[in-house]
Amino acid sequence: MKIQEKFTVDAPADSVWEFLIDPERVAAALPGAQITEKLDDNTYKGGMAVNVGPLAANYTGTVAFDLDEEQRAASVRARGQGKAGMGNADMTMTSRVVELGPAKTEVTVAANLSVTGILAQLGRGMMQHVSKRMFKQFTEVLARELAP
Amino acid sequence: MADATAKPRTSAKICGMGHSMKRKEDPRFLQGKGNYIDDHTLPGMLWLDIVRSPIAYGKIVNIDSSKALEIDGVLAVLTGKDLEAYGLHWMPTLMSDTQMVLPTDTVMYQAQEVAGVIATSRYAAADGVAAVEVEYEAMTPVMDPFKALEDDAPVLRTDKEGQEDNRIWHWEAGDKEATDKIFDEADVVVREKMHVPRIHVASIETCGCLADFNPVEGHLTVYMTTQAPHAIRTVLALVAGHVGLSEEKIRVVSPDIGGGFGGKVPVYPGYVIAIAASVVLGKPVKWIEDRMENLQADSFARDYHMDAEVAADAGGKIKALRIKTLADHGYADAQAAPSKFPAGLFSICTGSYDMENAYAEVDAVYTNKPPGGVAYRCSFRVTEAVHCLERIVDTLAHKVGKDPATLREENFIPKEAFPYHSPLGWEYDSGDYQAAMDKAKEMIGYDDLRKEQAEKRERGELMGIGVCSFTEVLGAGPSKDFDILGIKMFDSAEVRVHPTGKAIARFGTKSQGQGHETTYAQIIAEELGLPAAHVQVEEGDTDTAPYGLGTYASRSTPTAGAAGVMAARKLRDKARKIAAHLLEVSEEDLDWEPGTFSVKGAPDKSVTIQDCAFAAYTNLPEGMEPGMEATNYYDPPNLTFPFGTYICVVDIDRGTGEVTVRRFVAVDDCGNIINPMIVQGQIHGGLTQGLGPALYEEMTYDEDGNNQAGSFMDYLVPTAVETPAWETGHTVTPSPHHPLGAKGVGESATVGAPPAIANAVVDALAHLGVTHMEIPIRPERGWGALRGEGGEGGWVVSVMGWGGVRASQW
Repeated sequence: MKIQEKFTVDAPADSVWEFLIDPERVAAALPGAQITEKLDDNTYKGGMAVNVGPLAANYTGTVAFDLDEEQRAASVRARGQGKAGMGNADMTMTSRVVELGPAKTEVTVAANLSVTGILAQLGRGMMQHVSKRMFKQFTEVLARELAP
Repeated sequence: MADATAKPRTSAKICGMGHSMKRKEDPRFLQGKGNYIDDHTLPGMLWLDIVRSPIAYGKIVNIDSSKALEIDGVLAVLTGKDLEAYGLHWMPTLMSDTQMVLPTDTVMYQAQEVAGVIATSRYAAADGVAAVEVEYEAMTPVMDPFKALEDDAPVLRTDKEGQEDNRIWHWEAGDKEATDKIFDEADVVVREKMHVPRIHVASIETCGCLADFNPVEGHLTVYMTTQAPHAIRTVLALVAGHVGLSEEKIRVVSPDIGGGFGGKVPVYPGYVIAIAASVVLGKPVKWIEDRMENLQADSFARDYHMDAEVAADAGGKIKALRIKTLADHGYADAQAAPSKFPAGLFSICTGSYDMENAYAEVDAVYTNKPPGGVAYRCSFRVTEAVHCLERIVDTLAHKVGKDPATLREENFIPKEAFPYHSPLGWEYDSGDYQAAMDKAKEMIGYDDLRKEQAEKRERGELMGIGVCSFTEVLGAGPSKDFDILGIKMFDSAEVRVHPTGKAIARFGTKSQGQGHETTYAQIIAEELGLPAAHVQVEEGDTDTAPYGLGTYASRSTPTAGAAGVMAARKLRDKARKIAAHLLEVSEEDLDWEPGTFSVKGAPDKSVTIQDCAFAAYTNLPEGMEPGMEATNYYDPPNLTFPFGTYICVVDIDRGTGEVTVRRFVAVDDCGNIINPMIVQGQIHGGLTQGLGPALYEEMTYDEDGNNQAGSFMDYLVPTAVETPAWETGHTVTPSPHHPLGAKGVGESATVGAPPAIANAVVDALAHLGVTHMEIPIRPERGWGALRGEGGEGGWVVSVMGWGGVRASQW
């Protein structure tokens, strides 16, 4: 499943970038996400719980970051193993932070998500919707956190 | 039935053949008093629930059962490693392939069994399943059977020694060279590629069993959803002999079954895990699949990709048929066809038409789908064969500009030609195809419909008429060719008449809703003259029923039904001797009317069959063995070949592409009819199960191997809402070799309906250049993109994103 999102935040590009490359802060802003352990500078262990319709999916796995500070571009690869036979989730996401003005920043996100198991069988009609909702919640938190 | 049945030979009281006796099993079914697997409980019974693979292909890195075992009520978690200790982690399939019971290292399809959780309740078992942590290392699955044969495809069955690609077997029938020659010289050749997709039997009752091993006696009883209890018991004895199970100490009981349709012939891992758990724990263990497990893990049918060609002369006389097929079996060849017939009875593909030669070949491949290929209401691949032929015959009619009914009539095997030897080796027992065609055309008003269609086309409305004249091949089968794991495919009956003239009849088959308790009772009534109401029919318990191969492939009436006739005739012969003794005349001086022996010329001097039964226990002729009991094991001399013509009328909504079946006439000829009402019921059910695959049903997978139709939310089986009012009729062409002249009927309609419907849809669009539609013909497959763009040639067909339609004008 492909996810394309674009949103603007009323904050300087530098502070948005600082926020987005801090896994702890990102996890705190994303409902259900959690960072449990830092494996090395770019790799973390964590978990993600998400409800898709009647299905409650609970993943544990690793997140690896690859940052391009100059371009303010991040590429993230997350691999999760579902609990209770939920199957696996695998996501590659690239995001870019673009300065639109001194206190206006655009974030573009392109992600490719692949899931297996019951979520792929029953949840596919709802996953886009759930993803949109999660981005909305995330950007709200981001805006609040970075509010001047 | 629309027409009158021949007058029955017996009275309504006796209720033999030809009477529409109400089904003896219905009072319990209609009152919710059936006795299914899940109705069985035993003291101390435990529950099995199964951990299943969420991925289609991958390595098992680790199975952590610790959290599951902490749950109150969870007693054990069985994995492949546990079964390996008993050599039970693999099992043979009925096709001499192998299949995992539980994996030790690799999973091969989504929903594959990975571990079994045993608990004191169903709920605790389900909680345990959710708590078992399995770590997988996913691999890229092979989902496309064509890609499975490419050179760079990974070899899936690395467990099989010498397996170097994903090919399972190659099968062929017919004379290739002679057929090719006819094609080379033919005036007309038409060709279509078609897919009969994977579907699911979707019976109301899922699979399940209750395994009860008594460690003191060493005795195993398995209550099981199986269509073939005797064969299953023998298989259990053969594969589990090394752990101490011996055939005389195994009892398989198949109680009431809520629909089998071939899906309950194979042995699925769940059964084996439950049995293994019961043997290991010494307690009864019950396993009942839930709906999603059933739809995702087992009971799959079809999945034949066929490339069909017909050679004909310019007038449309068929000269030869050539079919090349790719069969997607999933991860194992676990179908349940007779041993010598890996592609089932696909070679019936020349159908109702006389032709010089034919050649058919099938290549079977492995993919990362669950094992498939069960004979879903079909006598082993007959559905695929008939769909292929009946579609391509329409293509030919279109090509040579003939009405599809006329083209069929001109190619029918004439009734004088029976017994007919088909180019692919069958001896058709009897047939009168023109009679069925005439009757179907008359019932539906064929000529008027063609006029109506022409008028509607003028107005731009879409209406189609589809014809299918199928020939089925049923009743496997004669022992010289037919066996399953070496066991010949005879079937059996044992009839005992009690002193008061009531009887019990036991059979080697097993009803799953077909009405055997009624049909068999009527067969005994016909032959013995006892009221059918007084004949108790029993099947399904290997401790009491005579040995038989079970019920599938419409074989019950052709095999076990015939055995019942033969056993009853033995008893009638014995009764005649007793009657002669009672009436003090010689046997030759007796006349037989159903139920009564009377002295020739003195009809008031008579005894009833009940009198004879009583005398068999109380007043025997000197030297006669007491009792009134007979057994017969019937080895049919040939298969039976029922046939019929189905005509379907569809209207297609120009805007949405939705297909509505306006009328459907089914004229069947299943030989002599035992119970017309049951036959009609079978045809109604079969037609509905043919409508499903034609318009709605398909089991699809995404490229990662995720099942995309694993619930009834996504897998649409037709309900009363979708089902049209079926119109049925029949002709009667008795089988010359069956003792009652009957042929079997359970599957004709499932086989005949899909091409009739598909042909009707193509017919509605033929003037637009459409020559073929893949089934299921669902509006959302892109049909909605059909739109009218008036032009010189009328319409332009534009079907976007769908390869299912081939149109010559764009």
